[in-house]
Amino acid sequence: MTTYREIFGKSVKSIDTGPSPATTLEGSINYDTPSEQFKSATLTPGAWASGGNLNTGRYFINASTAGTQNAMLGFAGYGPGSSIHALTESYNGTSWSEVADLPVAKSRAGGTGTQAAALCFGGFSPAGPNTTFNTTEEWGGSSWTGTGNMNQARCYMGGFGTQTASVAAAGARLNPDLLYNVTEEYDGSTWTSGNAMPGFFVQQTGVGTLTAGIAMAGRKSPSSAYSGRSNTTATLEYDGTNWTAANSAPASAEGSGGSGGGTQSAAWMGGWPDKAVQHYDGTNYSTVESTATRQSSGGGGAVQSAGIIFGGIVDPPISNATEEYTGATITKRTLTTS
Amino acid sequence: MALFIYGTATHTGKNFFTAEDRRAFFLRGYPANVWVVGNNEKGALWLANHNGVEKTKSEAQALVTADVNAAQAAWDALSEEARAGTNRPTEVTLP
Repeated sequence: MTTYREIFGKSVKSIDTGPSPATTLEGSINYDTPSEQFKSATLTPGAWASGGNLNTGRYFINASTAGTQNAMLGFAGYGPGSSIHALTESYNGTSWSEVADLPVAKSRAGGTGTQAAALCFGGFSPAGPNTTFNTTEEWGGSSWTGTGNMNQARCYMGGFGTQTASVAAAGARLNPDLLYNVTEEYDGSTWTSGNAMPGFFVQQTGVGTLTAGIAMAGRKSPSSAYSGRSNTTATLEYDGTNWTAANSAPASAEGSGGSGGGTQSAAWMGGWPDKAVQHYDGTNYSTVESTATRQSSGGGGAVQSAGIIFGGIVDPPISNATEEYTGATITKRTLTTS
Repeated sequence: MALFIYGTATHTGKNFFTAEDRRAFFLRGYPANVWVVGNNEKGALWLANHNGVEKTKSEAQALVTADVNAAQAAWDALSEEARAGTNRPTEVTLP
């Protein structure tokens, strides 16, 4: 009798757990040890679908990046024109609702935490007089409350963490322009200085927790001169004390400073420079399914397999759109002789 | 046969395009509510089901360019302070 190995040149692989999208080839045949049955694997690719539109389209909007696709907060923002926003909107997986405003209109702030317990820190307002903020606001579920100020006023930071344990990485002051390499950690009431970043970064995508964070891509300058910045693919991991360089993002993601979420070992970022979205597994990047619209400088967050991105600029000029990601799935089917 | 269908349709929010749509055909959004979809049955049905108005590629490009030009003019009119940290909207070329 002809065997499977003789036909295909390989034997059937025995497995004792369900195949995962990352390791299973579509159409592969496996012997499922627990059920003692032959199974084939069918891959359903991931995809970005439209979510509910923001009530007010804007860019440089911030997010409760540790929230979920069905429970997200979007706050602050800029545009159209030079309009600056204190608006806060809450998303339930279907629609955005306006809730209590920030105490002050700002954009390009840091945003972390969850829908029920978000943190907004720093930021910038071009409304006269020009202000780069050091203020911090905590969202308690229904309103914002001011708390401890950052030691260095900044905008365009890479921010990650929770309401009681966040990191503000690097950033800039605008008008007059200056870049920073400082790191500050928030403990729920006070910001303290940490070790400096190995460079002057702005507009990085920050993901993870205070003790296991990551700052991806954005722009970098060799000095504090704002004019010296250029797009970068650099990836830096933070362990609560030190920054360590990791593998760089692909060249196609150079300068990505859009949105992102997840963890240090399962992160995503997208929104800029194109519709492409990157996944990071703790070591390497891979380019996954694109969003339908380009949403640079939008908000975003949630886990890698169920991310959400909203607002932004360029395609279309000012966006109120939301997109939600459904990660790839594997379906096992039992093979029979019939 | 052309690779894409061009059209305009108003983005209505949730489920305007689904994950299933994205897996079934090419779909990209551009300024001026211009959508480029794969030239197959499912792509054509999606545009029709969303009250889309089919355009030629040149008509769609003209709409996009007009929207970008308006955004560029608005950016040019901003003060130096208001432009801080922003980039002038760039040209968009449809596929």
